[in-house]
Amino acid sequence: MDTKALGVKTTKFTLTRCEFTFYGVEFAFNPLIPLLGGIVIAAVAAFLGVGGGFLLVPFLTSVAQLPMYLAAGTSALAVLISMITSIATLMTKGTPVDWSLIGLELVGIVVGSVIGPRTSKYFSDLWLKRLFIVLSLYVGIDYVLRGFFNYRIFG
Amino acid sequence: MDGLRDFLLILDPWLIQPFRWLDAPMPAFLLGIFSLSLVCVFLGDIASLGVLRLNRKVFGGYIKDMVHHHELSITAAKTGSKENFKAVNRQAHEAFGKYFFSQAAVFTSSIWPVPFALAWLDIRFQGVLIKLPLMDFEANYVFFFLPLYILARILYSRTIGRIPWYARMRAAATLDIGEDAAHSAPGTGGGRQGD
Repeated sequence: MDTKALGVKTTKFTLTRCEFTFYGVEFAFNPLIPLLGGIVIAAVAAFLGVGGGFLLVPFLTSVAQLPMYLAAGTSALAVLISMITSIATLMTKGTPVDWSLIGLELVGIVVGSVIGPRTSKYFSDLWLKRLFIVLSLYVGIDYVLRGFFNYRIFG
Repeated sequence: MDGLRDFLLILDPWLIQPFRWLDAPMPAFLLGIFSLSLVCVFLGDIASLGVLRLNRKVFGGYIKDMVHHHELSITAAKTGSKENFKAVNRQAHEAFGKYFFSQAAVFTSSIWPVPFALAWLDIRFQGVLIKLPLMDFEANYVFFFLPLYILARILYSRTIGRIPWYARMRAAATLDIGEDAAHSAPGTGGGRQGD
């Protein structure tokens, strides 16, 4: 069997319906949903100063049910484009940045990237996900309270 | 951050030297920034190889998991069962997520010197705007550093692997991971994710 001829094949593309096959399995989604979702995610990412990839990947997999490599590659490309505009602004407008603070943060990431994988086997995936959910909820609620009610949870 | 500024000022006499190798100001500036970029690439590469070396078994496990689940998802797709494919594809996504962020950590490890270099450039060249030739546009040091850093990274990745001791060091660091998977470190070939 010629497996190269399988892969992702788009069979129909209109304003409201995109149909494609992946190894013979048929998928379909409404292109307007990723379009609008992309706008919302990009706006939220710009407001918060984050890349947005962590929002794009679950969004793409839940809406389009894209195979693994496609969802990751598609979201990486989308994040790259938004990063290019941010970097271009930084390079041309001279945005003031505390480089030393960023450098220290990167050193912390290096240390964490050594410690994290070596200690991951001692923690349950499920409890790590729950911890991440709790932290995300805390950050999200803190943002909402600060933004709408000028109230900080701590401090 | 005063301590950090003091540390950068201690390094200042060495960091400024490449900027004085040429007489013409613009070439000297570009050469100085390129030299600084090369130092950043080298130090970052050492750090990323260290991260790979210390975690090669764990990263190797992530890759095997990812490939295994991806192949299972292809098999499920070929059976024509969409539900089976979705279930296995979800596991493949989970496995890919771990691999993806491990590579992101390796790449981040490779760029740790960059902000410190920019901090030093800020000390030296803050407020200095350079008018670009043939254009009505003035740029600061960031405008020149980022492209030159990318260029330095590409050139470094294409040449450093030819040095025997480096090739041995990289091989030892990527032993359980494989060459293709360790592409987030600077010295592992250009044109891929992380370069």
